Amino acid sequence: MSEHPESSAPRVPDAAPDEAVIVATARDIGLGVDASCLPGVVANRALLRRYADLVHGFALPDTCEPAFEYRP
Amino acid sequence: MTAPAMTDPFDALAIAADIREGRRSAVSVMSATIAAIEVRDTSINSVTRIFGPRAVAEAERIDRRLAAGDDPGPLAGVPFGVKDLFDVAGEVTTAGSVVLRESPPATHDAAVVARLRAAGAIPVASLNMDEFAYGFATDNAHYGITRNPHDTARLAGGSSGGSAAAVAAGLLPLTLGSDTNGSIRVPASLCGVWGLKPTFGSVPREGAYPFAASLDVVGPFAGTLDGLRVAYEVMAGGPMAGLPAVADLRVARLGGWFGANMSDTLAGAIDAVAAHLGGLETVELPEVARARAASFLITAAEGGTLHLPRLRRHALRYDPATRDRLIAGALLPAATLVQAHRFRNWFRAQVHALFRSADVLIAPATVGEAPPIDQPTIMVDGQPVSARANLGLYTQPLSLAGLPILSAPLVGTGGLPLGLQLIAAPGREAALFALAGALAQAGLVGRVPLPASKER
Repeated sequence: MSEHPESSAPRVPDAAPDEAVIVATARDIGLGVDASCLPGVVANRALLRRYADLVHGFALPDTCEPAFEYRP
Repeated sequence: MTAPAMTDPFDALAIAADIREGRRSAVSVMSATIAAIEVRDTSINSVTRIFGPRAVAEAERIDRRLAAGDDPGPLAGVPFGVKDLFDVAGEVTTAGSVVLRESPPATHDAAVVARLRAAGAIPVASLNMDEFAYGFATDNAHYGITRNPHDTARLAGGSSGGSAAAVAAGLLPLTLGSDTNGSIRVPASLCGVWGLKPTFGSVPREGAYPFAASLDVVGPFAGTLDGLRVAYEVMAGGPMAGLPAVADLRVARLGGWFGANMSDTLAGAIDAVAAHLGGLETVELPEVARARAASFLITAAEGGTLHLPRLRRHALRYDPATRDRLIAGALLPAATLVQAHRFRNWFRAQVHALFRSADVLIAPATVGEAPPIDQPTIMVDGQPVSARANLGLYTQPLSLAGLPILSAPLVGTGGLPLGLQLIAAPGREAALFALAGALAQAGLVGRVPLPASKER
C-alpha cells in the first residue's frame, strides 16, 4: 500500500478498545461516562452493532426515504 | 342499597352495568377495589400508588350524577389503573424512575385518561413498569419486580407488566399500557389477559411519557374482550365501524421467523386455532430479522437521545440496566438511525403487499410461557438469552410497521398463559375484534383463569 502524506497523522486504530471509543464518542455529545457504567455500555454497544450490521447489510434504492414522518 | 352481589371483577362492562342500574354504588365498587389492592397486591407488586381519596370522591360524584338522572357514560364507575407514565392531574408521573420523582405533579390528565374519565371510568392506581419502559420484564430497580399472578415465581413480562398483572389478578378490570416494541403484547400474553396495540398514531399520546416517538403506541388491557373493545373505542374517540363478518375475513398464519423457536405447547394451540379456521395458509414477511433490528436501533437511539440531558447530569440515578442501554443508544451513529428509518419504509411496503391477500394474520406473541424470575432467560436458536431484552422476539418486528395488533390469551394450553397476536392492516381494528370474538365463542381464546385458590 502506498504511503500518503496524511498517513502519518494520528489515527484511531482499528482495534481501539471499546471503552476508549465510548468515552470519546460520548465526549462528542457532552456526556461523561462514569467508569462503573462502561462494562454495561460496552455490552449494549456490541449488541447494537450486531443489529446495525443487519440493517446496513441490506441494499436499499437511493429513492427509499427515511420514515421520519411515518404513516402506517 | 342492599348488600350487592359480587360482580365479576374482570368485567368492566358488567361493573358499569351494575352501577348504572343501581345494583351497586360506584363508591362500594371503588372501596372494594382499593381494599383488594391493599390486601392482595402484596404478592405481585403490580401497583405503585393508590389514588384512594380522589378515587372515592370521584366515585361519589358518579353516584350523585346517577341519582340525579344523569348518564355518566358507558364505563360509569369502572376503576382503572394506569402504567405510571400516563399523566393523572395532580399526581407525579414517574415513568417508573426515581429520576422524575421530584417533578411537579401533572397539570392535566393524559388525553386517554381524560377520555376514559369522560366515559365514567375512574383512575385509582398507578402501575409498575420497567424504568422508562425499557425492558420486557417489569423488573424495576426502584419499585421492585412485578410477579406473574399465575405463578409468583415467574415474570409478568413488560414493560407494562403492572398493567397486565393487575388485570390478571382481578384487581382491576381495565388498565392502560404503552407498546413500543411489544410492551402491551408481551405481558398480556404471559399474564393471560386481553391487550390491544392500536394502529400507530390512531390514539392520542398526549400526556404519556415518551420512549421512542417513532414507535410508541398507547392501548388498553382488559379482563374481557368486550371491555377491551369499549375501552379502545373510548380511547380512540369514537366507536369502530361495524365489525366485519368473520366468514368474509381472509386469515393467514405467519410462518418463517414467527414459526421458529416457539414452544411445542404454543405451536399446538396455534394449530388448533388454524384448524378451527379451516386450515390456514402460511405466509411469510421478508427480512424479519432486519425489521427487528431496525426497531431495536430506532428505540435505542430515540430513547438515548431523549434522556441525554438527564444522563449528562445524573446518570447514576438511573436503574443501571436502563442507563447502560440508553447511553449505548445515544452513541449510535446517525447513519445507523437513518438507515433503520429507510429500512422501515421498505418494510412497510412489504407488509402492505401481504395485506393485499389477507385481512388478519396470526402469530405467537412470545416464544413460550413466563420465564422464572430466578432464571430470566428464554431459548432462541437453541441458546439461552436475556428475557428482558428478547421477550419481544415476535412483537418487535411488527412494531416497526405500526400495525394494529390484538393480543388474545389462548385457552386450553394446560399450563401457564400463552398469547396469540392477531394482526391487521392499519386502521382495521374492527377485523381483529371480529376474529377474536369468533375465536372466543369457539372456546379457543379467553382470559386464562388463575389457579382457584388465587381467585377473588
